[in-house]
Amino acid sequence: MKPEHDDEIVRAMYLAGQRRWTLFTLPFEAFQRHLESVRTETQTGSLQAADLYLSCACALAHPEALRLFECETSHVAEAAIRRVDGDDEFVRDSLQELWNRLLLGNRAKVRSYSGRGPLQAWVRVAATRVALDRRRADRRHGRREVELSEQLADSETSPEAVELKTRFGAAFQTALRGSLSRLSEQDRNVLRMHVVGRCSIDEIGVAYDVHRATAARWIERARGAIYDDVQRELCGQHKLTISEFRSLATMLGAELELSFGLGHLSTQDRGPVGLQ
Amino acid sequence: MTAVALPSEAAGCLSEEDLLAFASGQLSHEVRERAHRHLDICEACQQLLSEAVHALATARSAGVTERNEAVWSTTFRPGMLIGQRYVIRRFIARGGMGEVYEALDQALQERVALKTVTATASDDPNAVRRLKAEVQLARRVSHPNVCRIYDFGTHRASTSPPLSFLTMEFVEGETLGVRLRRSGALPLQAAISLASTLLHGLQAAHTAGVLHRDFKSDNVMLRGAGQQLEPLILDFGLARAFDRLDAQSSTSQRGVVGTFAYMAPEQLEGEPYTPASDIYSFGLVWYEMLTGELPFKTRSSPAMTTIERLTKPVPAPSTKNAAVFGALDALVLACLRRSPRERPQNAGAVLARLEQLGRLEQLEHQLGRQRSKRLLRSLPAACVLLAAAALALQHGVGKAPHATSKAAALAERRSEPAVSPLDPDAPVPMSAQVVASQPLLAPRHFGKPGVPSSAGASSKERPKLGAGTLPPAPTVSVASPLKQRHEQLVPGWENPFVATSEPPSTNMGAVLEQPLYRGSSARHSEFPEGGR
Repeated sequence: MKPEHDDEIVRAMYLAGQRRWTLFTLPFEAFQRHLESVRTETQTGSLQAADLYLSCACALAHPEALRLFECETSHVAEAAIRRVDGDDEFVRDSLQELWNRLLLGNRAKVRSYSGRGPLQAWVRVAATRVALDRRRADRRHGRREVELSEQLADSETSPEAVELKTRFGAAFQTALRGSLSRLSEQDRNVLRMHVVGRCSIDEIGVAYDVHRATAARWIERARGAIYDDVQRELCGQHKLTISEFRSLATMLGAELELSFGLGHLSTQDRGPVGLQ
Repeated sequence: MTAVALPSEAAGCLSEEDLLAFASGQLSHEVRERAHRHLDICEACQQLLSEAVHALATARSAGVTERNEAVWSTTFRPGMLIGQRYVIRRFIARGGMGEVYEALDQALQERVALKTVTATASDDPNAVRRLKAEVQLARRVSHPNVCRIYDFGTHRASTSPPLSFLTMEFVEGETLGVRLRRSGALPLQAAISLASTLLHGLQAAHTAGVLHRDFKSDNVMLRGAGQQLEPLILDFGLARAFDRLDAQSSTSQRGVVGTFAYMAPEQLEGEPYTPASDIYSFGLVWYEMLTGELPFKTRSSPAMTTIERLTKPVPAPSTKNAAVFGALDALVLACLRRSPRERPQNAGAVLARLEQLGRLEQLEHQLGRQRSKRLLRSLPAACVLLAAAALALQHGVGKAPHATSKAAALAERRSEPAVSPLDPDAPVPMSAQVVASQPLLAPRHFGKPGVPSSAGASSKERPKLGAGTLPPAPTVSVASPLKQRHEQLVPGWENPFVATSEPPSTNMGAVLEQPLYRGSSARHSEFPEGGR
């Protein structure tokens, strides 16, 4: 099951690390042992060699490596935290906690970095996690969670929309949620990544290792399914005609047909998403 | 050990490893199905997955993921030869103007800081010429407390467009901004002493006709260690130089350079920048030193804070730090007047008023009078200053060494511990209150004992923050768990953190210790402690 660790590849990775980080030296055996301890199913040769070299030295608490680690990743980490909450004090405290979690003690997270993505991306995710944890723990930031169904349907465009929303808004929401719950987990996640996480078709393609056209087709399929579901429900139970439903969907669903109404959402509206 | 097993986090959440593997399409089908189930119920992981997806996309576009190369998004890498002369040793930080590296000047075998110029306009000969002119102007400032600029060059490589860079004095230590954010207001004496030294640097520049344009606590480096700490002003006049260069390639808002939080009102309004504008920014830094924060510190956006600063009167520093006495309050507030005409017009003018305060305090001790903060507060500052000037003329000011013994005698008479600010072995003042019980302005603060402080004298010698101005700062502390861990794991390693003598945990030394981890906002701050 475990891939063979070809000595030549490991040595090449070691050299790549040495070339990249000239200010400290790591014994080859230490690097080899570290690689063994973080081994994953991913082919060794496709790992981030130099990043692993640095993380290995950090796991061994080499002071120069720790400093370089911070130099290279702190701006990424800070930006990630700031996206969650821009308050200076919050950013400062979160950064401190991040370094503690990543670099301190026997459970330093840096020991588990396995090189499957660049270290900067890894730190960025870790920083976001710290920030989210802190914000959750912090009552001052009782921000309302945004649900996918709300993201899909939230729109205030005209008096007619307001009136229609009053009359059919609740039914529309219920139908939308019901429809979402009937999607497969994967479709729901893909849709959520796209709508709420603002991941592009290309990025979703990478994540699922499929062509962008396939990713686009998945999203279209999910949208179509929702549209049909909601239409069936509203026209069936609430006796709307097809054309009434279309105008309602256009207003309420913020162009559900076209884009699930992303155009009017600013990035500030991004937030944790929950489905009921 | 395998990192793909779920749940890999305590609460069943996806680990960084899992998320990156998911985002890069490296999760097996089976594991991905399990991830989907979790993602469906975990808001945090949903958001983290999106973050991972974006992080990978960013890394890809920056070329970071080139396999086995791990090309980072820095322009230069250690070992590269720049401008036929400088060998890059390490990346230090990324700032608004470009990237900063530590480099070795091969010709002189000296460490320098190498700062790249935002790449976009480096190949425009006109822009480069203008930048050179600005740098030449900035180089006219020669003062021991102003960071020296050495060289301006262009790096040419066959594979990339030419890139301009600057080399300057390499400074070790941490910035004043970092210090203030970490440990709050400075002791009163240190804040006054530091302000005085900085004013000397600013004065030298103003005399040479150079304005800083971006004076802030993050542009002041505290270098050296312990009792040898001295401030150094960074990036003198460079704000405009870089702005000029940038102007060639961008249509963004022009005419405003500097840092929002420290800009003078006239600067924000697009009015001409004068030495009095530097004084305003200096006033803010001084305020920060005395109180640990800027006058307006709200939780809202920087823009809101700035608007507040422009529309509301500045609360006196004494409202936030009771140790600040009235005449000092008045001087700081004078620097922060809304209209530039009402401020002291340049650094020399502030310095003169500060030195008058110093003489006043000194005289009080010489005359053995009971110093009364209440009296100082109740009198209009101008009267106090006039009186001080008159007294100074009457009694002379060059009796500094005397003053100390008198102060000590006085302290003894008041049955207080005889703490002399000149005594390096004296107990370290722990708070503003303690400081307030000591002579406020000992002679040493304005130069060496017996040497009357003046612009001329101090520009020749680098005024140091002597003992008693800042508490002694051991370069190390063994309190950090990281350091303990380092020792525990690598006992044989040459350990720069090992303390020769452990300071008491309540000592200011612990506060002044160089922290290992700081935010990236601190340029240059990653240097280890200990000056050249």
